[in-house]
Amino acid sequence: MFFWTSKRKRYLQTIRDAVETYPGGLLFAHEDGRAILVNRRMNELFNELVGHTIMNARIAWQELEKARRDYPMSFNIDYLRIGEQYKEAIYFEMDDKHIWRFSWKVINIEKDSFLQGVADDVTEQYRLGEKLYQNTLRTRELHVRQKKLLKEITKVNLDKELLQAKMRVHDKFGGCVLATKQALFEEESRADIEELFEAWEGAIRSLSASGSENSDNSKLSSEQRQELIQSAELIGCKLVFEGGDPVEPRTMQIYYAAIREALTNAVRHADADVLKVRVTRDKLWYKVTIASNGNPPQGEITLGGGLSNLKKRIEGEGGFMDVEYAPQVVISFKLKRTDNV
Amino acid sequence: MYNVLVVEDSKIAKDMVERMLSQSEDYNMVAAIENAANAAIICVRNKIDLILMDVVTAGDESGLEAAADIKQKYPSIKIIIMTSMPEVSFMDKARAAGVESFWYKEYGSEDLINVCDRTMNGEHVWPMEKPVIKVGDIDSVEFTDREVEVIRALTLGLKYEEIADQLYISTNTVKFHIKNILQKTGFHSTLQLVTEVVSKRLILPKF
Repeated sequence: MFFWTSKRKRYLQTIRDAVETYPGGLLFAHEDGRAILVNRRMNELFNELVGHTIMNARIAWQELEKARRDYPMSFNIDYLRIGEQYKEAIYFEMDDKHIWRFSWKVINIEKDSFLQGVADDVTEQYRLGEKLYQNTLRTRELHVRQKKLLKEITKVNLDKELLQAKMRVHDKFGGCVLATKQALFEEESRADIEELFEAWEGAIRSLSASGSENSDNSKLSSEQRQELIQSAELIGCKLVFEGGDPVEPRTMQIYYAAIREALTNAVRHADADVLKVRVTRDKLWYKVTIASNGNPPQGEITLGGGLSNLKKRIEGEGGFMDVEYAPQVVISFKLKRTDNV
Repeated sequence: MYNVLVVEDSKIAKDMVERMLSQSEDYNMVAAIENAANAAIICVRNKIDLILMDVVTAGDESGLEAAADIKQKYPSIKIIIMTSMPEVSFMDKARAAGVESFWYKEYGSEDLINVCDRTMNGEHVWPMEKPVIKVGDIDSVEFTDREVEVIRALTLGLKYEEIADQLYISTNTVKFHIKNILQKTGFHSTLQLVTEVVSKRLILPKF
C-alpha cells in the first residue's frame, strides 16, 4: 500500500515537473472551472494581464476576454490569423513586447470533461506573419501595376505603329516637296534636264514606297528565315539556303509555306536531317528547288493534302510546281516576280 | 509537367508569358516562336501538351489557321488562343478551329495561368462576352451580324454589287444596311466607318 502511494506520488511529481518546465503557460481545470494544475508561467502571464493568479479557469477566460475588449490591441492580429484552429484564441502583447496566444479547449477523459488552457509565445510567428503580409501587399500592388503597364504598353505600341505609319507618309511627302522645290529651283537656274528628271523620279519613288517596302520585306524575310531555321533545328533538321529569298510579301508567304511543307514531310516521312533550299531568279521568275537527304520513298508516291494544296496555291498565282524523286523527294516550283514590274 | 509552345510576336507579351510559365512548376516552355505557321513544325518531333497561340503573328500568319491545322494533325494538343484584338469574329473562328480555350489579353479578368490550369484539367475556358468597342456613336455590340458582314466586306474594298453577290442579297439591301450603319454610328461616309473599325481592330480583313 505504502509502495503504491509513493509510486503514485512520484508520478504526480513527474507530471508537475513536466508542466512546470513547459516554456509556455499550461492549465488544467474541472469542467466547472476549478483549477487542478496551473504552471508558473501561466500564473505569471495572468498576473501581468489581470493582476492576480488563476483561481477558476472559466472566470479567468472571461477576464481575459474582458481585458481584450477594454484595451486596444497594439499589433495587427491579421498577421497571426493564418490557421483555422486558433480562431477562438486571444492575443496579448506583454510588457517585454512578446506576443502570447491564449487558447482553451474541453478535453474528455472517459466520462469526465476537463478544461485545458494553453499560452504560447508567438512573437516569432507574428514577425514572420507581418513579413508575409507586407510581401503579399507588395505582390498585389506589383500585380496591379504590371497589369496597368501591360495595358498601357499595348496602347503605346498601337500609337507607335500609327505614328510610324504617319511619319513614313509625312517623310515621303516631305521628300517629294523638297524634290519639287529643288527641281523648280534647278529649272530656274537652267540645270541639266536629266538631273531634273532624276529628282522627280526620286520623289515619285519615295512616294510609291516601293523602295522602302522592299527593304522592310527583306528584313521580314530574314526574320522569317531565322525562325524557320530555329524551328527546323528543334526537330533535328538543318535548313540550308542558297540564293536570296523572294521579297514580295505574297510570293514570300507561298515560298515559306512550301519550305514548311517540304520540311515537315522530309522529317516525318523520310527521317531527313538536312533540307536544302535553292533559289535562282531571272527577269520573270523565281525558281526554287527544295531537296532533303532523307530516305527515298518506298513505292509509288501520290501527293498528300499538304502538297496538293501547295500546288494549287502556286498555280493559282500563275506559277508551276513539280515533285520528282531523285531518289529522294525534290520539290521544285516557279513563282512570278512582281518586284521588277 | 506540361510542355508548352508559345506563339507570340510581341516581345512584351512573350516576356510576360515566359515569366508566368517560369513561375509555375507545372509548365515547361519548349519554345517561343513568333510565326504561327512554324508551330506545326515544332510539333513533329516534340511532345507538346499545350500551345499558347496568338492570332496576328509574324509574317501575317494567322494563329487561328495554324491552330485549326494543328488540331487536325495532333488532336491531343490543347490550344489556348490569346489575343489583344477585339476582332468580332475571332472567338467564332477559334471555336470552329476546335481549340480548347480563348483568352483576351486586355479585356478579361481571368489570369492566363488560371486559364492554362483549367484547360489542362479538361475545361474549356471562354470569355463570357466579346469586348465592347466604341464605334462612332454606338458600341460595337449594337451591330447586327449582317451589318458586321457588310462592314467586313467594305473593309475588303468590295463594291456594293460585289457585297451583294458575296452575301446573296440585293444591292438595294446592301445600301439599306449601309444607310442604317451610318445613321447608327453618326459617320458621314463608309470611308470614315472603315477607317474607324480597322484602326480599332474590330475588323481585321486579313485574319
